[in-house]
Amino acid sequence: MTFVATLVGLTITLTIPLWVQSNFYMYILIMGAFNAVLAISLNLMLGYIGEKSLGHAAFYGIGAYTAAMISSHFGLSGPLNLLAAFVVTTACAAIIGIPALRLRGPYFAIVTLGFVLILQLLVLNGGSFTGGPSGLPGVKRLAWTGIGGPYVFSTDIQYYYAAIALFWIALFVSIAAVNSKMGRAWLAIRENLDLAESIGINAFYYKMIAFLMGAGLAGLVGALYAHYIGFVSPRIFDTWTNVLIVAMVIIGGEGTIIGPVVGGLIMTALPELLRFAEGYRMLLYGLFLLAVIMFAPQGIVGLVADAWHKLKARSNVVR
Amino acid sequence: MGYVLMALGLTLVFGIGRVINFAHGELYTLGAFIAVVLVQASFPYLSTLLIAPLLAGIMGMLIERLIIRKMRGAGTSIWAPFLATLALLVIFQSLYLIIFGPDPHILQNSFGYTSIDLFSLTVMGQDALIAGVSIIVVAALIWFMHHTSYGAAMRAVSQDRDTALLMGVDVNAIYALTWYLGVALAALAGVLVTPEATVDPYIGRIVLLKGITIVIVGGLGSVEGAVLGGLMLGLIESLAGTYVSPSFKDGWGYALVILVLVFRPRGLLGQQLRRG
Amino acid sequence: MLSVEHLRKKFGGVVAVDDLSFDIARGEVLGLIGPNGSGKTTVLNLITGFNEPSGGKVSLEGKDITGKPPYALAKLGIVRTFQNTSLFARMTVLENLRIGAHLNDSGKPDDGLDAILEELDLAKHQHAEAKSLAYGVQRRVEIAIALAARPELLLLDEPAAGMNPEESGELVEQLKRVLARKITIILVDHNMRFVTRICNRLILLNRGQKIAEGVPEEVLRLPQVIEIYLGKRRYA
Repeated sequence: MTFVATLVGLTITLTIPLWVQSNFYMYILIMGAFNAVLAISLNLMLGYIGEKSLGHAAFYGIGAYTAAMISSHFGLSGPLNLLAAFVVTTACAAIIGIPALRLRGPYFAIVTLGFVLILQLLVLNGGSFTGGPSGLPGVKRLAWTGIGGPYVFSTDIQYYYAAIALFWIALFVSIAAVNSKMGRAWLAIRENLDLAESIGINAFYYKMIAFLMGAGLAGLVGALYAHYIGFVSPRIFDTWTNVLIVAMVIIGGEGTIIGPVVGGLIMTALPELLRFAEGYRMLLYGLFLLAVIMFAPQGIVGLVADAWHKLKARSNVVR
Repeated sequence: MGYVLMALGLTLVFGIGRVINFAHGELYTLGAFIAVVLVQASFPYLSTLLIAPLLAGIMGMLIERLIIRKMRGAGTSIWAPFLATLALLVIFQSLYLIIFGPDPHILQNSFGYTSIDLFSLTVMGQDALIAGVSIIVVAALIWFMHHTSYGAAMRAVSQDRDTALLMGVDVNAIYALTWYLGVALAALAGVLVTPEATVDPYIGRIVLLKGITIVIVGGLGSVEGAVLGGLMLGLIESLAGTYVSPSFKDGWGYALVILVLVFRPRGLLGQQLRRG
Repeated sequence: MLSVEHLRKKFGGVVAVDDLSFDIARGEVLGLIGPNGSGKTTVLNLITGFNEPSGGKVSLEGKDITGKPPYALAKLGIVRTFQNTSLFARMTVLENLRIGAHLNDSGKPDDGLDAILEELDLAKHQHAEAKSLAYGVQRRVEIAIALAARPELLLLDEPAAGMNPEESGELVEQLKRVLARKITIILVDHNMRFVTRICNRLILLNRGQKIAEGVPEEVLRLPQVIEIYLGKRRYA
């Protein structure tokens, strides 16, 4: 069943560009893929470990800025940028994680929030190093200059495939992690941390891994985003981005694999559908988010799963 | 100094209601905007000090009743209310944008710009007002918490909700009261501080962070801690702002939070935390 | 096997554990008894890393383990259960045990779990969701989870709490089967009948201090015990 679903998914995602003509829809697809990966990466921490990390936008931003800064200051824009983004983001996550992961619940959430804000301030005040308030424009297109000759990612379709590749990698990594012994440890930590510790699970260690994995993935997305859009600005660290990422996970359904994917897609598609109501866009987002939290705390995926169970139960009775 | 009131509101809602109200900053803005509207309708500024919090408090009660209460049942995640307040943050901010537009508004106050000479210090009228009102309110709050039955009930609920319930405390009423007070305090802060700056739909976030900083430093759930935290923050910000770098002023607050959380997570006067 | 020396714990102004020393040899079943507030659970917390001692030393086979965190102690073979029911509520009993076996690296995670289920009469519940089970069954699941971690020293915090005589009698039988695995046990409980049947030694605590130590029959006859627990009435 899952195999079939994966095959279908792969086929769809790999062939969509053939159907889509306009740049606008391509943009949505690409951002959708990015957002899905972001949601997956946050879900590791949020859904599986159960700790609300409010600073995820930080890692996205660090990745984007690292790539952009390398492009600006060194003129490079190859896989090195992506690797650097991954490394830098993970390193930052380790640094902030060491003190932060010892904290629980609201305290952890607040520290991560504080982290994003300090980062934004640093970037705003970084002068020409970080581009200051106006950000860094002119990020070069992603380019491969090794064997096989220079290959430049200049069209949307190319970025789309790069994004999709990242998406599938993220999905598989996340599935593998969740189904491993480590994944069980994460669940144990989420359900009952003291009990987990008492039977030998080093909570700090496992939390750190989830945190680093999530951060690294987010950093990669950020870097890819930077090369795609062509510029970065401090607005990437705004509360809005943060809330958006959290919203994607919650709306889709935390603690599940497809949940964040669904959430990511919905939250990407929604603003475009609501484009007509420009000023009201955020308002509707907020209301939507509130409604989901209040009435469907398990997210859309949870809602569907519930409905599915109810349908099955009913059909059994009828029989 | 006015931020102390903001922090008090936060700490009350957290200590008693066990919810970190992420929309608290937006409620500060609510107070400020209500005052702006009133002043433009020719109400005297000083009257807004009373009216805005009263009205905003009602909003607080509504939030508690309609949203937070729904999430108290079993089976919902503990984080649901917290996320709901996040959603409220977005809702409020966008409403402000729609109604008031993105540009800053000023809060007219004839009194605020006069200077008063006090013991050879020259103090701005507004500052004196902020300090004066804050001191009175804080004192009143502390008196209330320790010398009235409602205050005792609130403290009881903050320590052990179930026992309080068993002892006949109307917990729902206490929650409603807590939210009313908490939001009213935020709104009051908004009315007090805004004449010195301006108000726009975006300040809620910064204000919220100052409030959170104060609350963390002073200790989540502690009224006295909030006061102490407020003083510390004010001190650090002015010192850092003057001697180090003015544009990074806000950052010191966040850095302070992180430091406190790392070395003394319960804040200076907060409740004991479990090992985590 | 385990040696506790001059252990002390202060919480603010309250001294919960005061200069406590005792040893336990392999294979023993040691009971800690005493009125509520005497520090019994705190002693467990101190030994298993859930609280840090304010003073004193805990050694395992001669090695100092004072203040080590719970997961490290679990690796050394020290596992505990909790006073309040502590399970992975949303998972099945079997899944609970699998997590308990986290430290088992052999690649065969279910190894030995069947035996544990048998010993504690849990086999028929193994696919039930933990939170749906009766209280007494849940308490046994907690012990089973701890056993899955292959402890050498097992600390049980009020395992018989809330059980009726029939259930606590069954628990004694189940624990005897567990003892056949050569596990050393320290337990804390109030149920005197239970404690007498399973422990070979008792330590009486009051206000954080050791008041008496010895074989159950002797300790329970001491006037101090009767006084502390029951006031000045006869314990039949």
